[in-house]
Amino acid sequence: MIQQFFSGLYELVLGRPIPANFTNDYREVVFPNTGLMLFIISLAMVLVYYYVLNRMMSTGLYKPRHWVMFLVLNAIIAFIIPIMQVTGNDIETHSYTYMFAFVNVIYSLILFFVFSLLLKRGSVQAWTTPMKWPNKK
Amino acid sequence: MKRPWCWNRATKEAAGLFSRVQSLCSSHGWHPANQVYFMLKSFGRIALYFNLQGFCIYTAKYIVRSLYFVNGTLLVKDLESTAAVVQNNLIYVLIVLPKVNKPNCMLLKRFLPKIYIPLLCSVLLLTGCFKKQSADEETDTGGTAPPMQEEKAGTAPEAAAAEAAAPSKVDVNVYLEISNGMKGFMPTAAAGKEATTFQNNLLKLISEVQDGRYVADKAFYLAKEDAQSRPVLDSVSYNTMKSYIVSGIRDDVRGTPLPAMLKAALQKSIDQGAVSVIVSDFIHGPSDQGQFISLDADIRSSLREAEHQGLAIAILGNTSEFFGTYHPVVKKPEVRRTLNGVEIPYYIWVIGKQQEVQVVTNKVLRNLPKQQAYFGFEYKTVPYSALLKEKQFKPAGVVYCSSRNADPCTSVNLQPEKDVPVEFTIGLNLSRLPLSMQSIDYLKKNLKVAGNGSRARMVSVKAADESIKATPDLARYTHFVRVQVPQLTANAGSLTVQLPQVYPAWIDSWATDNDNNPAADPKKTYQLDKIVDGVQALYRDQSDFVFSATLKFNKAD
Repeated sequence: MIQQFFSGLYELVLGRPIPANFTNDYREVVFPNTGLMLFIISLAMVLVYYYVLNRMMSTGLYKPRHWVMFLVLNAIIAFIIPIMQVTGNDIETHSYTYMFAFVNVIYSLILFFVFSLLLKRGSVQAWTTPMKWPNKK
Repeated sequence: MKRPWCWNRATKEAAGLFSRVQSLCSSHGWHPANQVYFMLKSFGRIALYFNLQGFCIYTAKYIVRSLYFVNGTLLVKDLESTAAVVQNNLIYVLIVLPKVNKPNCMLLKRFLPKIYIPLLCSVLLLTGCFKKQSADEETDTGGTAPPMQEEKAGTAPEAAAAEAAAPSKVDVNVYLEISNGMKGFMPTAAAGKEATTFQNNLLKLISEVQDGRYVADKAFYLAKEDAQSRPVLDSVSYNTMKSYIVSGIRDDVRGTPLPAMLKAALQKSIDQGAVSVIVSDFIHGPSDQGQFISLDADIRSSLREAEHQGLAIAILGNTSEFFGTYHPVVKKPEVRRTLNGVEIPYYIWVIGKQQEVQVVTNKVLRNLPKQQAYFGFEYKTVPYSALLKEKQFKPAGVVYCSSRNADPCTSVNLQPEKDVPVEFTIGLNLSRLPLSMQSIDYLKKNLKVAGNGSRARMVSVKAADESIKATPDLARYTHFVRVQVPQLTANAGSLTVQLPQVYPAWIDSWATDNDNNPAADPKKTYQLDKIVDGVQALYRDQSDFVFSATLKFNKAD
């Protein structure tokens, strides 16, 4: 199920894996691994930003540019993971691999933003980062 | 509004702090009395919000810094920490309550950070999930038979076992026909006269049977006929047979009742559990010429027992110089001819269990002539696999193994597209087949790729070369068939690589209906085709293919 979900998620944008003979490696290993890690790491980054740094520790990293820093950090991780997954599973690298990494970066940006919206209300110092909406006073 | 558990305590603390803030603010000429909200949030935290609208940011920061100071000098022992943040013209003051005797307050405050620990652990664990299993691990867990093959093996386990275990030693019975027609192959030795090919080969053969390491029990028989044209098999010693070959035949045996002789020899071998090696010119010499008409049927019935017992037949044709009297079947214009070195065919028939026949042909006879024919050879399981990830055999088009770690891969997903036909390689292990069937020329000519639900054709056949033999995953296969699938006609089906039972072409060119003048028309045997037809008829209904390797396919999604 998870495999199908993530394969669908990536193949929606990328199309069929290339080279085709590694289709199953992509679908059964690389896509779900990358997708799960993308979810977990993005969530962890958001939690760290809003709840650890801006609630438990009160570090003062509440500004939007700090938030952007974390967003970019998350994107870099999201670029490295797919490439590591592909090479780690003895799959031939192809421009598809880098497109895949790129798409993963886009997904990471979206996810980080969505998680931020969902979770920022629980933060004390950064509940208006990156912006106040949709939280009310 | 539902009040948190620590409400009373928190409000008391906040009120204390608030009064300090108030005094601090008023020292700046600001009286925020009515603009301060304080609220208690869950988890034992209190936040104070100051509305500083109208203040410049510098002043706001100053107030915050002063608040820290206030907190430091206030000696509010019970407060664990405070923090203040200026944002959107509001000053946020965070007050974290210390341990309170009320269990609920304590639980909430202390428990929260610990939630992060299992969360962190799960993140670390999940990164280790879905690790690719290497093919080695797979085979370790799967044992010797991978799942795909298991169901196959289940259908014919005995056959597979019998095929797989090639015996190291076999029992051999050698039958040498010694009718007058054979005398010319074995002329009496004389100084300065070279031995014929027949003599050389036969001596090698019986010596290998006598002393070779692949033969366990052996027996030598001279095949002749008695006065009533019934076959007689004389058991002789190795030395006796050798002297017959070297010094010539002294007996006077008029004819060869071919079917009867074959039947007698076969029966003897079956009784003894031995492989029959029958050496003869296979010129039928019946007492009654009418028997020629039914020769194929007679051969078939004489060998019926072989088929019943599941035995296979290998026919090896060779020629040798012939010195002496030749007795053609067709007696016109000459009843007999004296030949001096004309090439006349002779044949070695090997009859026995498939694997034992191969031990004899490959290890005892060794240098086989080009003319070979095999009947009743069938391989229920030939190891095969679609090779899709090997660097040496890169596939083209959309094709991948249905199961990621299947080894061997016997089921593929494919999707030929316009202009991009699917092309991939199937590895086969044909090492158990007779050598002549392993030759690339033979396979190129005869190997078929049949598609069910697809159009498929064979592109090429390749034998394993040194670099392939050095690759562990590929060393299992001896031949590589490149298959092209330009189109699918169904969503699922199969591709089959198969080797049909082929009637060897040389049989027809070695057969003749008039053997009266072998000097003018050499290397022919009278009605050889009819003899072989009889043999073939025996096995006709057994199987159409020497082997077939079926690859299931599904249309790729």
